[in-house]
Amino acid sequence: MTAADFQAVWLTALLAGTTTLLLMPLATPLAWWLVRSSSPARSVVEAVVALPLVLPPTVLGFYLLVILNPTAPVGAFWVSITGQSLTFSFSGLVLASILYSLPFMVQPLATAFRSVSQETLEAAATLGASPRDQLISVVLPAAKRGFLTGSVLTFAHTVGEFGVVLMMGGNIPGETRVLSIAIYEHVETLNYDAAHAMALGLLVFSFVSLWAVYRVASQRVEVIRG
Amino acid sequence: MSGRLLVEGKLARGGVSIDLSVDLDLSDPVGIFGPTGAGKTTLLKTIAGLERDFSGRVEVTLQGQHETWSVPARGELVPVHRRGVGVVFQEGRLFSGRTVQANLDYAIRRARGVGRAQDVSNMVGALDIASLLQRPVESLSGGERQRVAIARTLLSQPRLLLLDEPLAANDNAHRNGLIDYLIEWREQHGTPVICVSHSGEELERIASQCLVMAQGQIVAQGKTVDVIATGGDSQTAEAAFSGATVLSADAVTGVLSVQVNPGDADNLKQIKIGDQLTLGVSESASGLSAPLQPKPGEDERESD
Repeated sequence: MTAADFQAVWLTALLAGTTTLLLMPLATPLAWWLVRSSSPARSVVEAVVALPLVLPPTVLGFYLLVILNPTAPVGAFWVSITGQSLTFSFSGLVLASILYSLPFMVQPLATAFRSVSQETLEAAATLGASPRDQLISVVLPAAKRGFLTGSVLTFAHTVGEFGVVLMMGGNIPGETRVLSIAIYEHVETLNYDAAHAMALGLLVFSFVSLWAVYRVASQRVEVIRG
Repeated sequence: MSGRLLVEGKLARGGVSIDLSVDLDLSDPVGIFGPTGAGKTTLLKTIAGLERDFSGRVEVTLQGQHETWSVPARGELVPVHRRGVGVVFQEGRLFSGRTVQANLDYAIRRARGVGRAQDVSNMVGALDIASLLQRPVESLSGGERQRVAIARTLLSQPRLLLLDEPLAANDNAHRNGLIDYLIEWREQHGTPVICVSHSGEELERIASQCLVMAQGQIVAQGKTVDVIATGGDSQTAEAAFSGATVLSADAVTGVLSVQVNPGDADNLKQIKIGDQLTLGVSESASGLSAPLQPKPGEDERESD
């Protein structure tokens, strides 16, 4: 593996880490709303959140390219604020990854939030806990497993991204050339040894991530001792 | 230890409905008695602010301070966590995934009189939960869960204490100890208490005044001994009727609705609330569909 390959590994880890860290605070209120709301808009939002699960990544990438390129209003607005384009840049990749990995964070969190019953929250309220206090002291501790599962899945899913990255970011070393793109490039140039090394690394990483998620899911929850 | 509570309004949701107007003097503990589905739990939840569908007025005077908690047009004015109403729920509602100690700590940290010393060790001893403190709540029996729930609510130092069948899952030995402790705690803290129970005997010990509910309405209100009349303090009334029809008989409360002939109306005046009546029912009596078991029972638990 060359220095450029190691750079791709580092860039992939940076992209996945940034996406996970940014997605957690965004997905938490969204998941909470999806669980608690009785609004008719809920099913619409649920469907939008789940779209990346069924949509070909190239479709999402294509629309992001159309909306975020510097000649489109949103893309031009971003350029006017930051001076940088969202397409073919690392920040654009982060935005695309957040959208693409949204269901992988929201769904485990929603499942965890659903496990906290209305009755439990009522009991907390009668003990003097405000809604914010209930969220911090009852809901979040009960959703610990959901946060862990959501984070691992989001990280692993972002590491494995290809279609969206290719459409939005292209193949710019140090900026948008992530692991999956590097493997693709090695195969295209018939450099199978390098492709093998990176592909095997990704395979092992993905397996370990999923194994960790299933292990966490089957473990007993630690008891809070006060 | 004075206080007043006014609840006036209605609620109809699925199979649950209440429609009542009640003005309670909270100087003495209040009992709420009635059969399953009478709306007792719904009334308690309405007072606590947990019934969003309730449309009506809830006003209280606690520690000399008058507060309006909800009004008909604008709904809830004071959210649950600001009311200072402690509720011991029938099913305990402990926080799962935590030990008993963690459940108690949750209440202590949010207690209204933070900084005011609480004799926690005396309480856990009196409620017989000292040996359970390090156990996760999932491992507790029904009675243990209820005792922990009582401790947790008392430790939050409520301004008004609502108890929903707080002793139902406990055996007789624990029940007597719990009643003694609740009476002692109330006297020490001066907190008004409202207690729902199926057991007339239990209510006679805990509450000196009582409401009887049936089908979402208050059907009787007065001194517990008079209203429930399980003891021997009431007199025996004698009245002769030329004919009567039994309209309904409730096995749990012992409430019997009887329609008498208009000509016998004067005889009714001889009967006072709390009097015990002996009824002779002929085999041909019409309208009698349920078997009569007029003694209030404690064998059933409300399932809602």
